[in-house]
Amino acid sequence: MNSTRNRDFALAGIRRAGVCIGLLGFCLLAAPAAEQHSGKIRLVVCGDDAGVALSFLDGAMQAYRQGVLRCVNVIVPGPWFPDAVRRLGETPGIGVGLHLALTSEWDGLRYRPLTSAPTMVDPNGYLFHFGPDLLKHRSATGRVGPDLAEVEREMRAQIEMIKGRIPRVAWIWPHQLVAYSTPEFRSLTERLGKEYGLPLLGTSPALQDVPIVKKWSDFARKDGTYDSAAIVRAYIKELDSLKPGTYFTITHPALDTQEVRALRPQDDVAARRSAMVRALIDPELMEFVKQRGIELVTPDKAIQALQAGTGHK
Amino acid sequence: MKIDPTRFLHSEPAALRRAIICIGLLGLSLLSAPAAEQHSGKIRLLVCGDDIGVSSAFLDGAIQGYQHGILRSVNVVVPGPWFPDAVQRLSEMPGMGVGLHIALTSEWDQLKYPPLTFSPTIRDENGYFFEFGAQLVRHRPDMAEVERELRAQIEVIKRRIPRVGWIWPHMGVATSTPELRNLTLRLAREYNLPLLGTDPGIKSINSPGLATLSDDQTKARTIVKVLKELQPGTYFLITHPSLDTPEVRKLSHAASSDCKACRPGAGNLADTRLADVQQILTNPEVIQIVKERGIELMTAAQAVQALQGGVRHQ
Repeated sequence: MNSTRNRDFALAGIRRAGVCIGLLGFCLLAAPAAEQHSGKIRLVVCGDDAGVALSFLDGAMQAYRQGVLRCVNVIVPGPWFPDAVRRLGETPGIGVGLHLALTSEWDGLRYRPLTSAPTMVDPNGYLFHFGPDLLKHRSATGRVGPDLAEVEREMRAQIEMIKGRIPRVAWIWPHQLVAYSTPEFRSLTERLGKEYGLPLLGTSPALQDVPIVKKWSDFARKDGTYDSAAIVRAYIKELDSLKPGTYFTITHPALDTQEVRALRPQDDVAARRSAMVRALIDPELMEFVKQRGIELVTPDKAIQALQAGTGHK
Repeated sequence: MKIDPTRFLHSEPAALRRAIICIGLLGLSLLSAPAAEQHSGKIRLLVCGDDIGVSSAFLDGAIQGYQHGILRSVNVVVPGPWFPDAVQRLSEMPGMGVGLHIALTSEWDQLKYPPLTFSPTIRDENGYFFEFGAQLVRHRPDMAEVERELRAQIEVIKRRIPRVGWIWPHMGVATSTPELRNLTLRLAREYNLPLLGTDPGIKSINSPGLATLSDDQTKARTIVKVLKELQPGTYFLITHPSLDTPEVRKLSHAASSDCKACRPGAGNLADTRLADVQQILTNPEVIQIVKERGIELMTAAQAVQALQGGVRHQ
C-alpha cells in the first residue's frame, strides 16, 4: 500500500518536474491524478439554452452575477442568438459552449436549421421536437431518419457560426443529448469536435456530471412552484460526497416571464427554471462552496480538464 | 327586361340600388363597393395589429385590443419564431381576421429569423433576412428566390391558418420597387389574396402622430382627431400592439438608435407599442367616438369581402 502511494507521489513529482521543464505542457495540471493529490473540488456550473428565449440568458446572467454559474451553452439557430452574441461579448468572464441543436422542443416558439436539411425538419420546416422524432421520421422519399450528410452540414454550420461570432467558444454540449444519442451521431460529433478543436462536454472521465436536480417532483410545492431551498440542500449533499476532481453541473435557468410561460402553456417550465435561478444564487449554496473550498472553475480551467481527458493537447 | 347595373350605381336613388341588391342581380359584393358606401354615408374601418409571430407579447397586445377595444384583425409574420403560437391561439379566436404580413426583412438587432427558403441572395452574412428593405434591394436579390420565398410564406399560412384573407407587406418591402410590387401583385392574384393598401376603395389611415413615441398622449390625441374628422368611406388602420414585457423592452434596431426625434428614455419599443394598445385600441374615448359616429368595425369576413371587391378593381 505504501509503495503504491510512494510510486504515485514519485510519479506526481516527476510529472510536476516535467511540467516545470515544459515537457508536458500546462494542461496536465488538470489531469485527474494531479487533482486527487491536490484534494481540490473544481466545479463548472453551466446554464443551457441561451439564444432561444431572452429570459433564458437573463436567468443565466443573474446566476452568474449573483451565484455559482460560470458558463452558458448557446443554441445558434435560436432566435435570440444575436442578443446572446452581443451580451456574452460584453461579459468575457462567462464561459461559452455550443449547445449543438438538432431539435426545437417548444410549442409556441420554434426554430429551423441553419442549412437546407429536408430530412431533419418536420412538415413545417422546424427541427423536430425531440430526438426520437428525428430518428423515426419517414420523409417523402420513404427514408427513415435523417441523412447523415445533412446532419454533418448542419452541425458544421452551427460550429462555424458560433466560432465566427463568439470566438471564445470552448466546447460542444449537445442539446437534449441528441448529437450523442446514436453511434452514428456520436462519432460524427466526435469527429467534428476534434476537427474544430472543441472538446465534447460529458465524454471525459476527467470532468464528470453532478446533477443538481434528479427528479423535479421531489421539489414540487402545492402552489405550482418549486422549493429552491430543498434543491440546494440536495445539491449540497451531492457535492459533499464528491472526491477531489473536476465536475460539471448542467442547469436550465430562466426568469419567470410571460415569454417563458408561452413556450408551452401547459408546462411549468417557468416555475422550474426560475426555481433554478433561486437555487443558483442561494446564500446557503454560496456559503457551502466557500466553506468547502470548492473552486468554481473558470472556463479556461474546464477546457484544460477536458483536453487532458480527451487527449486533445 | 334588360338592366344596365352601372347606370343605377351612378344616378339612381339609394332605394333603387337596395332593391336591385335585394333581387340579387348584383350579388353581395356590391355592398362593399366604394361608390355605394359614399352614398350611404357609412364609415367602415378595418383595424389591424402587425408583426404577430415575432414575439408572443405582440399577439398578447393584439388580443387585448380585440377583447377590450377596436382591433379586429392581425397580420402574421410566418418566418417569425412565435408563428406556431399565433397559429394555435388564432385557431381559438375564429372572429379575429388574419392577414399575411409578408416579410422580406428581420429588423430587430437582438432577435432574428431567417427566410423559410434557402435563398442566398435574400439573406445577410449570418443567414437572416436583411434588416431593412433598402439593404435587400442594394444586394440585388434574385427575383426567382424572392418569388420562392413569398410563395412559401403564402402556402404555409394558407395551410396553417386557412382563413387568411389578405396580404400586407412587412415594412412595405414587398411593394417597395416596381419589380417587387409586380411580383407581389401577381402572387396576390394567383392565390386570391388581395393586397391591402393597393385598393383605392380602402384607404389607409396614416398620420405621423400615430407612429410617435409614447411618453405623452400624442397617439391618443391623434387618433381621436382622425376618427372625429373621418369622412364616409372604407379605411384601414395599422397598429403595432404589444404588452410591456422584458423581451419587447429589449428589442431595438438601427433606425431607432439613431432616431433624432427620440427623447432620452422615450424610444423604448415596449412603451411605444403598449401605447398602441392603451392610447388607440382600448382608449375609452376612441371606443366612444366609434360608437357615436356609427363607425363600423369590419369583421374579418367583411374585410375580406371588401378587399375581394378591391381585387376586381385592380
